[in-house]
Amino acid sequence: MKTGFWVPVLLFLAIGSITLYLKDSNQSQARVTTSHSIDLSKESPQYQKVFKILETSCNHCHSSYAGYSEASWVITGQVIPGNPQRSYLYYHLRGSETGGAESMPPKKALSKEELRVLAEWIRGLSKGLAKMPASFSLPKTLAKKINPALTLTEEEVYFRCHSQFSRSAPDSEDQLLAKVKKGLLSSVDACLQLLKNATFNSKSDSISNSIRRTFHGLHNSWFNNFLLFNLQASFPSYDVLDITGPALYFTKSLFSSDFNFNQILSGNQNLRAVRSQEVANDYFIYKKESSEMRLSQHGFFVGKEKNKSRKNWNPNFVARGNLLDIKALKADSKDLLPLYLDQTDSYLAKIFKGPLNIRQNLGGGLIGSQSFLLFNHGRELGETMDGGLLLPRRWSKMVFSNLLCRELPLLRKVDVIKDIQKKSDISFRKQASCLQCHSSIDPLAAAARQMTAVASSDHPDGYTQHIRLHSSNPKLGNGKLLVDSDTSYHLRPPHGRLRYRNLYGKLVESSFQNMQELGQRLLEQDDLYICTAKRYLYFLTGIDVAVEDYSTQLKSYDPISLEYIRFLIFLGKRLKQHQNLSYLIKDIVSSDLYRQRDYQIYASD
Amino acid sequence: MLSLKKRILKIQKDRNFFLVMTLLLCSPLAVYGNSKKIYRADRRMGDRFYIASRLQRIFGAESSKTLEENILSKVRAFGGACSPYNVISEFQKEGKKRINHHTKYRCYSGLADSKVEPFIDAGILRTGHLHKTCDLLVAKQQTYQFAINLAGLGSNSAKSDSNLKKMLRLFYPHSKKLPLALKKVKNPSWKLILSSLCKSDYWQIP
Ligand code: HEC
Ligand code: HEC
Repeated sequence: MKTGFWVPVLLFLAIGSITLYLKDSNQSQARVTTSHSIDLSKESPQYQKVFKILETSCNHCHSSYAGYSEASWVITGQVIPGNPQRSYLYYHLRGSETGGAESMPPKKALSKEELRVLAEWIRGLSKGLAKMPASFSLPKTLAKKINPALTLTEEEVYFRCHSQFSRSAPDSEDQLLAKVKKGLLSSVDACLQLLKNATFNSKSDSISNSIRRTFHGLHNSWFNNFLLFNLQASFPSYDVLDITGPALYFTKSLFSSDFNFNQILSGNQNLRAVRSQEVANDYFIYKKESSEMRLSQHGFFVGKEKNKSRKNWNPNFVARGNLLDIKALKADSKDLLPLYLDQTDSYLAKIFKGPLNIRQNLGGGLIGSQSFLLFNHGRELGETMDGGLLLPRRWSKMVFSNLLCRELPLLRKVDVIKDIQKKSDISFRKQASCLQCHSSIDPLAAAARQMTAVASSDHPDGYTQHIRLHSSNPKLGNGKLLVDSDTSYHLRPPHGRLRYRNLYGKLVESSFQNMQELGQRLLEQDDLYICTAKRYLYFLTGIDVAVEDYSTQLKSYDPISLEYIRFLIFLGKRLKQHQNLSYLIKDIVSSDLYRQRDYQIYASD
Repeated sequence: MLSLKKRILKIQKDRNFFLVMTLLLCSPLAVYGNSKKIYRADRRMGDRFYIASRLQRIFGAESSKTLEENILSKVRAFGGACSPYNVISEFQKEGKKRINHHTKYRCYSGLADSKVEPFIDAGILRTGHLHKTCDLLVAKQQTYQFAINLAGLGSNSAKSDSNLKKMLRLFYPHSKKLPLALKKVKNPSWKLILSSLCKSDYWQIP
């Protein structure tokens, strides 16, 4: 083949050397849900003046401003230190003469003097980074420059997000594309509009269906499911319990306007997908179309063959078709198992009388949901937890890795010296090296102590697995958190402790009384938000940034790595503020990184 | 025994030596030290659904079987998780059978396909399947003709700049900058041009 022609064609999108500049997005959409008052005396004198101005002129409409420290403005990207003109807060002000929105406050404008105070304050802010937690500050990185030759046009940016969200290119009729072309709509707003069109209450065109499918599939790929690869696997379970169960929480948060991000880890609802076709299923979901095993002939079973209790069971099925909505799952009589077994071996299995509600949730939203518990219980069928060897450690490990993007060990030797139990019979309670993991996973697993995995029947193909939750009895008292073996452990209140070094290297040690409280403890940390940002960043740009305890090696990261860490922390902190997954996507789409043709950034020399 | 003065001098010398050595040794170290990479940059390719949908639009409805066999079902080459419940089962009167309608989003090789990566960077597998697909689509008269017509060309159109641009537009419909340095072309056939464009990586990166 002659290369004369191909070289220019293939170099068509050739990659030049560019440098990165990750824009601290100036399009804040902070929808702050909580508004704590701050300790003003701890702020700089300059900011104290600013705070007073905002208090008198803005806070009655923007109540969240009352909770903003100087650092919050920077962290949320609404103020760019040293640059009032580019600061979202400032260019929204009437008379700021920035060419920005200049619409605030709606009626009475600020005085010239007040405007000056605000501008002075922003100009005087250190150009360094937003304040990080104590003992954690990222070194400054090299100056950066941008190569405009590799920056996408507005039209191309929209083409990009449309292609990623729906996995098809916009067609020539696309109305948002037309608006972007005419300059009537920014690409970022058009991308955000695509997500809005896919929200659950809107009508479902095929693009919206595709967008939901893309993101639900993405969310689902974040979660492990050990049951799927386990010898005890009971594939028919997935016709009764949604195999995408944990992902439903993230997808609901992205596509429902009334489900903030923090609701992913709160409440005791399991979720149910509403899909386009809720007709009777005639074959198991895991079987291929040619399957000879049809549900109408075969079905599900409860009970045991040996004692002749085995009979057909007609459960509620997981809906099939396109995803239309995600709702709270309300159990009905079909969700009650009349009988269940502690194992599937026909000779050994013990039989238990129900009714067992297979739709219970332990609290904490996703982490206490049937699906997350069942897919990751990591125990044999029938085992009850005793606080020693018997604990659902796999589940703990998955809370850290699936939700916080953190891999064990998460404690340092010095953190666990005091945990060593020399006299314990359990090997890993005696050694610091083991405790670096076990001091995290064991007290966390205590939250799920009530669960026991059970089977619906001993039918080799027709049984399903479920989680039985023992109800706890406060009268038994809390008992010791980490014991060698306590036969009442699973019946005691599910108190425990969250213990790990977070990504700033700070030792987190907080107790909780139940799964719901554990969810709240996790929401207080930044890790969950930064982990979510990491995953979306990968999906949208192909850049996969590892999340780890950054504090110990800060000085050894290369400059680009530092930029990414900084960007991730920025994105995560903003998510924590606005609690909105589409704004997280918007933050990424409006970054300079996303607008580089090859999604690459280079350090300047 | 050295005198006290000499000993002090020696220590000072040692210290100087130590300082110089520290500087010498540590400056490259400092550069090397700053080299822990915390990220992996995968090329952000489109997944199997994206590739199939783009090619279907370019080569027309006749391409769908080829795309299903060589792109959509190659889950682990292109990435893109399946949706386990994207199957629809309904009663139809054909011989009193229930017909299970599968959509292209179904899990081709089992439920574990719902856990694959959202996209997979170009690899041998991916490249191989794509090349095969492009060859098949260009070789087949209906699909080739569809693409040529879509571009607004015919098999005998001249290889002019503007015609080449039309061809490029199939794959890069919204790019502002198209290459102008196309003059040196030594008259390859449109088939060859089409198949080479189809095989290139760039259009696969949305
Ligand atoms: C009378 C109520 C009111 C007052 C007073 C007011 N705002 Fe607003 N502000 C709004 C509303 C409503 C919006 C949303 C407008 C929109 O989205 O188009 C808004 C939007 C904004 C935005 C951008 C969008 C956002 O959601 O953050 C900024 C920044 C802002 N205001 C700053 C200020 C500042 C600073 C002051 C005081 C100097 C102020 N506003 C006073 C009602 C008010
Ligand atoms: C890197 C983290 C890590 C370290 C270090 C570690 N463990 Fe573990 N250990 C785990 C996890 C996670 C599990 C649960 C595995 C599962 O169920 O998937 C586990 C489970 C166990 C179990 C099984 C308990 C049961 O019956 O369910 C034993 C025994 C054990 N570890 C012993 C040790 C000993 C002894 C050491 C020290 C020499 C040690 N572990 C160090 C992470 C760790």
